[in-house]
Amino acid sequence: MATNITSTQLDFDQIKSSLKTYFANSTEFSDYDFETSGLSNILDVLAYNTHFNGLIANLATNESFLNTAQLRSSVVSHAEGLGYRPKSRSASKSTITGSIDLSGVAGRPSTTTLPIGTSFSASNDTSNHTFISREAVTANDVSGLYTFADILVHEGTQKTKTFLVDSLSSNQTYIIPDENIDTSTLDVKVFNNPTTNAYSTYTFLDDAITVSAITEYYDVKEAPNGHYEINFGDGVSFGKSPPVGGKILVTYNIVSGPDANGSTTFSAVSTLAVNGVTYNISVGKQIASHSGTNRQSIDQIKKLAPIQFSSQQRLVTPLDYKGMILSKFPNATDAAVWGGEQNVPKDYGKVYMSLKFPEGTTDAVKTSTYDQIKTSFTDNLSIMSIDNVFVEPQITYIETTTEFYYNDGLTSSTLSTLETLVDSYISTYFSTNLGKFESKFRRSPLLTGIDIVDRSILSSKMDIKIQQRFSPTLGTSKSYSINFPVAIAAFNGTSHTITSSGFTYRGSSCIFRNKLSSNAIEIFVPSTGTVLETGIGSYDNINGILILNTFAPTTIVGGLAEIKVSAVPQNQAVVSPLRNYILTLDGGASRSYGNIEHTDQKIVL
Amino acid sequence: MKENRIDQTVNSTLVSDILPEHFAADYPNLITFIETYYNYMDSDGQFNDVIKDLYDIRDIGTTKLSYIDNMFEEFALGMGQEFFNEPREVLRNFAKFFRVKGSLYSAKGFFRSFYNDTTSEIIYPKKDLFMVGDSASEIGPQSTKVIQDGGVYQVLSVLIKSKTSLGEYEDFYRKFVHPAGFHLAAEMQIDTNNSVTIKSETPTPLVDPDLAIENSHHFSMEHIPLDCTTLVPSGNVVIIEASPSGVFNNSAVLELDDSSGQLEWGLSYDASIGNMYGPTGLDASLITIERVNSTPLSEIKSSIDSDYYGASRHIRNYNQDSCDLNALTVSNFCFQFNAALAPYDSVGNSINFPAHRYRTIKEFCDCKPNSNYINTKYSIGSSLISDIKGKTIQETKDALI
Repeated sequence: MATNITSTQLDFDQIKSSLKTYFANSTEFSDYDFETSGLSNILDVLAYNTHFNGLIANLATNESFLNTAQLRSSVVSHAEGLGYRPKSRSASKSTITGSIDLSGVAGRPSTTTLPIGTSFSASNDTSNHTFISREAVTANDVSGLYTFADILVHEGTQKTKTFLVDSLSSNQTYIIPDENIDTSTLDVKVFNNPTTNAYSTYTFLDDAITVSAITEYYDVKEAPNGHYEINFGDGVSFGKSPPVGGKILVTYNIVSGPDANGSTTFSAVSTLAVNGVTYNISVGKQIASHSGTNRQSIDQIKKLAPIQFSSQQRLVTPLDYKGMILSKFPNATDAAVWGGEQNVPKDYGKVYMSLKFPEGTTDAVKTSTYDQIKTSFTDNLSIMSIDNVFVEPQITYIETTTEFYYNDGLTSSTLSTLETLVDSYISTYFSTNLGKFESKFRRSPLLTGIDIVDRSILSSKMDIKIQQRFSPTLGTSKSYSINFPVAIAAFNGTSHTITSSGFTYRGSSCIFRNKLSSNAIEIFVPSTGTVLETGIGSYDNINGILILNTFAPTTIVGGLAEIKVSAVPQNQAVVSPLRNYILTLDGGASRSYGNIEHTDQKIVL
Repeated sequence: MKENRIDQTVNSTLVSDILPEHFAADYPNLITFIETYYNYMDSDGQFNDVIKDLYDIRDIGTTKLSYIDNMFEEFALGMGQEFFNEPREVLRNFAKFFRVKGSLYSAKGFFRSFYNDTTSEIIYPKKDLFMVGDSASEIGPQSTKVIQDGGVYQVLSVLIKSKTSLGEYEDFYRKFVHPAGFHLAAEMQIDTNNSVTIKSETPTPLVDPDLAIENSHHFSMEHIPLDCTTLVPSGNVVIIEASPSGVFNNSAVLELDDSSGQLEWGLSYDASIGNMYGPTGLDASLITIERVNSTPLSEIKSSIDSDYYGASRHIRNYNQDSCDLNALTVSNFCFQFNAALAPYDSVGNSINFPAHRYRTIKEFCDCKPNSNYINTKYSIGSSLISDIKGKTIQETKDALI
């Protein structure tokens, strides 16, 4: 990460030169020759000392601020000052159904319970993982079959750490020496002495409603070395302090984070004992594990801590909502939030949210996340009477047509190779810089990058189109409204601003497009060059809306589910999506063309 | 340097103390050399300066401004210090600002701190909505209420009147203040040279004396229950609510109930001259704040000069045509209550005044609690009015033109 604060000039040679100048300007040493070996050596030592101290000063200065700090411990510490607690790793989760079969067993109970901590194994593409049930599930006897529905399992290995409370310090901290714990799995029990079985379960500070001298809470935060430390109250005014001579038993899960996501084929590792007899647990319905995340990165902390500070535990502005979602729900990789007054159509009294999840996230997981956001946060922290609405991200594809000129004398690569290199660069550019909410497409930096893909490339240019897709009801005449995220170019007399992919209509393979010099939409048969029908719709270029009034395709060419609608944007240099639009590349519709640049050569004899 | 800190300097005078004594005799140049080096270290721009900075690098009040932007990144969502006249003060208050976001306080604070604008108004248009069953929602040309339009005029709406254009502040306002889900409407206030303001203290070129005082002027009203000891200073402007029935309509604070046709207003009664009051038949619509304050002083003067009393403008000069504008103050205007029961005298006693008795504002305010006719005064506070307090009409008129 770049250092933003340049505390002093750190170049060794310049330091030495500066020292020489300083000495030469002093009266005592003005006539000294600093190039002689002895003095030069001394100056080397002093310059090194200066350089070394300068480095320390620079480091200390940069570590003093959240946005310039580079050490995780500094960033976490600054975030803590803003009231932000970086998220630890979180376990991958799944919900499965298990059962045991006791049919034919005499004296079987009417119900049986699958205890917390029942262990299962599952695997994904990379490795096997252990999952543990997080809550007890009770099943009824149905003809000897006990079915445990909706068993919530978390990936990880359960560990226990025991601390003894001594009298040496009034405010001890207890370190859990592991960076990979999921702090949400912490279970803290406090015993008055090491031999008793009686204990109090302390609750996490964030869950405490009020805190007094007798409130039994613990706080957990990331220690400077990346481990986690547990703190308790002072026993005076802010929470109960564990008794001197007592014992603290901490149970927690070590988790693999995202590495365990996508685990399937669950099978029980544990068995279940009923009336002294152990039975194997069969796993039935299951969903792939999800929502495992790494602990928040330095960049995420730097981004989210100030936002959370600005929200002050309230949900008022869209930024408050966004900060809350991204800091509390790390399984959402990005979020867009806007007020209903900025929605199309306007919807006052609502806050719209769109979350981006990792590829493969199921609808059930998304719905579960939406429910948690609503019940845990928006219902409690947002302005009264303001409701929230979750909408899916809208993907807008960008089609690029790139033409570059190159000097074939500067490369041994073929034209095809160069075109592939350019296509690859464009694809990488999009995956790196776009694919997120509020990410803008800027053509200029992309072209700048293309120009240096290979030293033979001399110049480049690019035309772009934006593309929306929709799934028509086949064989039925219906109206469709297709919204583009930006204004569309006005019609002209030489090219079609709107074009579609192929579909079958009245037995012909067609596309639709706008008529030249008109915003009216017509159905066109490319194979015959004839217009099959006119006036099936129109487009509003300023608002970027295409309306199809009576559109009844019978099939979509290629057996696809969607028709692609491409439009030339009004501004090809920048595409700035609003709200829940996300820009991404349609690689299949994009193409690069190379041309050899021929120059006149003169031979001088 | 902080009071409790030792000055962090690489003190060159310690060099000779630390080195063995014989160095001073044998190698004086070496000592001088090292001392010169440490002087270099302490000179401006060298690393020791940066070390000194560390002592208060996060002290908003004393750290260098070059470090302040880093704290703006942390506490102020990246706003730059160049945005503010007093960046240190603004930075200190950002947490407080965030805590009240969405409130009127935060909106005003936003314009005050971000744009140095103390005049912006935050208006809730829902107050102007026509509500069925609400007595204040009248039907007819006099109605000032607006039917909900799904835009500005709705419950979830905020209207900002500011000298700053919406385009300039919208992004920041939405980011720092505006509650999501509420309509944001804006009106830009434009000052023009055509506005006549009371601020003119030196003679200025003559303008049309009939030009009404800016009708967009806003008043703050103070609703003060009268007591018998309340005195209105001479020159103060007071509107009295009076009702012959003794039933006062508190929601119509600026109305004079003229259902009996007995209320009039004019100049104070002078017993030595006799019954010189103005015409009866008060036009209640005239007796409103807006009307009073948009009545051109030239018209008042015209009425006074002509001893006019035959029309709906009820200005009358008890001295007939010889009114001295330099001596006449606003408080000389009064109201008359023409009830069968004679009103009270200046100390609240019922005496045998003539039935038609004009009473000065002061007299109204001097009344006793058992008065059936006066219970409330409404003082109008504004730059416009306050500036004519204590001034004679002539002085005020002169100031205006």
